[in-house]
Amino acid sequence: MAFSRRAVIPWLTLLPAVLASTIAVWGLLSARRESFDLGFFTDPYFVSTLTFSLKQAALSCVLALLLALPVARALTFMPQLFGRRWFMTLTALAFVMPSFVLITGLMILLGANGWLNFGDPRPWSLFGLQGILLAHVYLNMPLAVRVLYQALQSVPQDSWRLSQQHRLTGWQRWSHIEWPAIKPHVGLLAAFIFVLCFNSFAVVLTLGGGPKSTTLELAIYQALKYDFNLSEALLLSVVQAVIAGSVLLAAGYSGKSSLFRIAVQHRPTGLAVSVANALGHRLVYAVAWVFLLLPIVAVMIKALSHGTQLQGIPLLAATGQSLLIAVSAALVAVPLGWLMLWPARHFQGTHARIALWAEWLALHHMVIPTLVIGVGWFAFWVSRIDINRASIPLLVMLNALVLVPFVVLQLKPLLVLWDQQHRRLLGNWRPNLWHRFFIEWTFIVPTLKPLFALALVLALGDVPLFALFGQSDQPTLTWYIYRLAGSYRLDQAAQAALMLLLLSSLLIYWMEPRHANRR
Amino acid sequence: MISLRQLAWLSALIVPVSVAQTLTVYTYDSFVSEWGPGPQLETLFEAQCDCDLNFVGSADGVAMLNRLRLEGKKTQADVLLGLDNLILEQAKREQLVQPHGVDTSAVSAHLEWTDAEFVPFDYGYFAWVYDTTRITTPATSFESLIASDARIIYQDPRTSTPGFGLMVWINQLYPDSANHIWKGLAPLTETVSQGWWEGYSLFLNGGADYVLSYTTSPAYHILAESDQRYAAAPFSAGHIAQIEVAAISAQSQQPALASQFLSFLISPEAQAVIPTTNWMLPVIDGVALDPAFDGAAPERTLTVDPLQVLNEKTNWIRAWRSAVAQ
Amino acid sequence: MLTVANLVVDRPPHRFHYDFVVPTGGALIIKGPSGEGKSTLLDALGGFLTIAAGEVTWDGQSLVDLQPEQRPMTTLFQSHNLFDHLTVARNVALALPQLPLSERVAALEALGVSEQQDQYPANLSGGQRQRVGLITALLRPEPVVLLDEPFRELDPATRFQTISWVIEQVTARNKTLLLVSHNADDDALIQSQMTDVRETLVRLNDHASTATANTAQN
Repeated sequence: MAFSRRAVIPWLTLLPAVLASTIAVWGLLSARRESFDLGFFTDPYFVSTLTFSLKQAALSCVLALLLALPVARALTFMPQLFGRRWFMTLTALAFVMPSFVLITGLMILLGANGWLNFGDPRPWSLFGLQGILLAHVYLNMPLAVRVLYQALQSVPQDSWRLSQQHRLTGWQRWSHIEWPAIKPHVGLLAAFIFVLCFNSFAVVLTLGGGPKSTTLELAIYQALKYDFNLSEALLLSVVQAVIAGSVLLAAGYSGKSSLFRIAVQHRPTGLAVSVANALGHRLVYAVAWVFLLLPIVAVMIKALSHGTQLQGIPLLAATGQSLLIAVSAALVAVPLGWLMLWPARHFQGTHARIALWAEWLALHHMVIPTLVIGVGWFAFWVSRIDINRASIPLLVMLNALVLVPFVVLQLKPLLVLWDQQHRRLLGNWRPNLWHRFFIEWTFIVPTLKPLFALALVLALGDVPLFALFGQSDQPTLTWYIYRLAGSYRLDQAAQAALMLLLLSSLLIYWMEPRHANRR
Repeated sequence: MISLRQLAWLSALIVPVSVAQTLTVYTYDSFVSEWGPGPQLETLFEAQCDCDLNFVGSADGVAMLNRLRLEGKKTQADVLLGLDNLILEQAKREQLVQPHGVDTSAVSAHLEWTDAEFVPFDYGYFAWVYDTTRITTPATSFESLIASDARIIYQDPRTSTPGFGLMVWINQLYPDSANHIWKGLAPLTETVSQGWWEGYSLFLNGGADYVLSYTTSPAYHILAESDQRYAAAPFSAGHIAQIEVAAISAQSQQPALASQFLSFLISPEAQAVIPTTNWMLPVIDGVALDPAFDGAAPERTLTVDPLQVLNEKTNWIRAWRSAVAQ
Repeated sequence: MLTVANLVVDRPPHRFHYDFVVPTGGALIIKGPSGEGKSTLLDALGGFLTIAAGEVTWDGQSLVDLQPEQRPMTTLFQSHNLFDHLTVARNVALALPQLPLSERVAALEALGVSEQQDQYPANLSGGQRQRVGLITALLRPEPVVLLDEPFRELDPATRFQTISWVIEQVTARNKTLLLVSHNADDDALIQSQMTDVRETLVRLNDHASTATANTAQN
């Protein structure tokens, strides 16, 4: 490939994403009625929303990490733990699980009449910061477990042996071997979880419980849907995007490490573990199992218990709708993400800073609140086309744009490494365009399948966009659950949640490679 | 051999082209749920109009209003059903409705209805509903509610007509110290729900001691569930009324059919359906009401100036928001 | 004729200087301690590194501003000469699209790797991979061939045969050969079979690498 700085064509692949954002902003700016009121930033409502957003994200992040560490350590030091492979699959499932499945499970377990709610005289309240934290920990701790475990696995066996030979104490082993192995990943992991919780919508929407537990994303939604106040929405989204972006930047994000590496290798440390420690590890492992499994089991039991009327048609319709939108969005997002990496890869070796810009452009939808794009688009298109008829294509496109950053994040390390190794060979052999495509295509196909599954699972969990565009008479599964759970028809919500859970599990199963990579 | 294209043209001629007219009615979700008035009214009306009634639900009345604003001129709505007396001025100001041309002389005299664009179809009074087995001495005012340290649920004034009604009620009773009341209620609040049904169902599941609802809500439990334990707490300072209304959308392509629907709404047969499905009081005289509804009219009612509401609502919402956010 | 005039390449903390001439059809053996600039020279000539100063010309045309694809060179690297996810046959076909299938197969047979055609590079021995790599490098149309330690991994059994084949191709196709050596015996073999083989010694802190003309005839 030519490495001319002046190459323009690669930048064209970023056009769809940039265009999408432009349309959104244009739509918002042109449709607003009120002028920008900067005094809004001094309104106690704004201040408390901002504070709460930061507080819940920070707490969620810290809790998730602190709780994940013992689990990762248990996995590392106890190779004989029962059902490890299933546990790993469970963590993958918990991480990508659509929020509403979890929320339904939590409501069954800990809602007002919940199975586990023993508060007396008053039941423990699921609504508020405590509910939000609980849900966030559930959704993010598994990712932290996987990353920390993988980090610990990367410690060479010699180090473990040496630590044993030198009779290092537990604390010494932690500070000399474990912590250094984990440290490089903690920053990015924490930043990532923070941003996920910061941008979280479904959880705060259902478990927040009122204005004092409002996050920026929810406030944007409310400004748009309740007040139709587009200026306020824009101001809020600027704040949200700036904070999310800064956090990722501050963590030194340059796309170096891949957090989502789907396969996790198992390598025993060979260390002997004391009886007391072994007991501790087993206990932690068991608790983690129970914690992750409970909401899922709750949903299953509630859905299948007799006395629940079977849903039938509405459920199937919602499933069909979800699949239609998710599959289409994933089909668009995966090739688009691949294409959008082109400029970043092109400049990687030679002009690193330009490459970084290209990568940020490809990823920028990760920090722009989804709702803002959604409403901007709504405002832009509502006067130009019939929104009700076009709701599905619009939803597909918007969902695809939201998925692209995940695709990019997954593909980039793989492709950059491949480029480094084979750039010169390609310069040597000078394949024509067709051959060039063939070479890369055959390389990437094994990765595309799990990637497609990941994109599909994420798309199934969509909520915010449907909240805006969806026809409430043709809901997706998540919206269907939302309406049922919201009106406390938990048994019906559980059925829909179970369906969603089954779909997600199937996709996870498809995603985790069951055989070693031939590379 | 007929080609596929010719077949397509032929079938278009053979199959009858006439399709029944569709009347699209925007309303709130609980109206069209299986236990709401929607299904029965649909059957009754479709029998007389030879048309197809299509309900489109939103979370609550105010949410419906917001949806209309967002849709603008492209809206498919013919009839807007579920706004109330407190927010209809807003709909008028935004030119979302057109005159209905319906004869409203049948509407009960005490409602003094003269609006040319909106037709009322039921009414009730806002009140805090509680479980008599959990609360033996109910609150009689907002202050005593705050002092009782009970758990309460109410709806978001930005999306829900009862929530909006609560906001108006508080500002009517405490024009200068509404903030104080909101702040007092804040620690008692279990959750602020988006729509009426979400909050109410949480209450029914034991989620709180009081829920903001209507004086007619207990009637549901008495009649439908033979359950006497729920009651509405009468406030000595008075309650405000919510009159639910319907109107023809300004963008409707079928104003005549829509007008026919509105007339139908205040007809005796439709009004007979309302009390035991929407659990609100009928707007015409002569509808037989079960004794369970006897307590539905409070001793003291307050009048509200709709124009004042329209002008102050933004400030009131901002004040509520700021007061409870801290 | 390949002319390298006062070529300066920066590889911090080192700075390399190269200066030599190779006639068309001739060969240059690049010797020197490891890590001291031999591969750097090949990379610079191939266009994979930016040059600090100096000039490289082929037949009078300056190559310095050209991208790798535009240069008349083909390189055999120390590693990554094949795509791991494609079979040997596929790799060879992609490298040599202008060659008919029969000739590609003949070449594979000549070097004793035709039975590995449908295998993936990871399943080949180091020597087999290198032989396939040599095929892809030498049968390409570019007139200048740069080989970086091309015989290092060859098995003793096939060494002589492979080197002979290389020399045969180079001579028949009139290639100009630049070769980084790691083994004096291989050099002797080359020098004994080719005319006009020069040598150059590349050493750190050595400002001018000298080309000594060695006109041994075979």
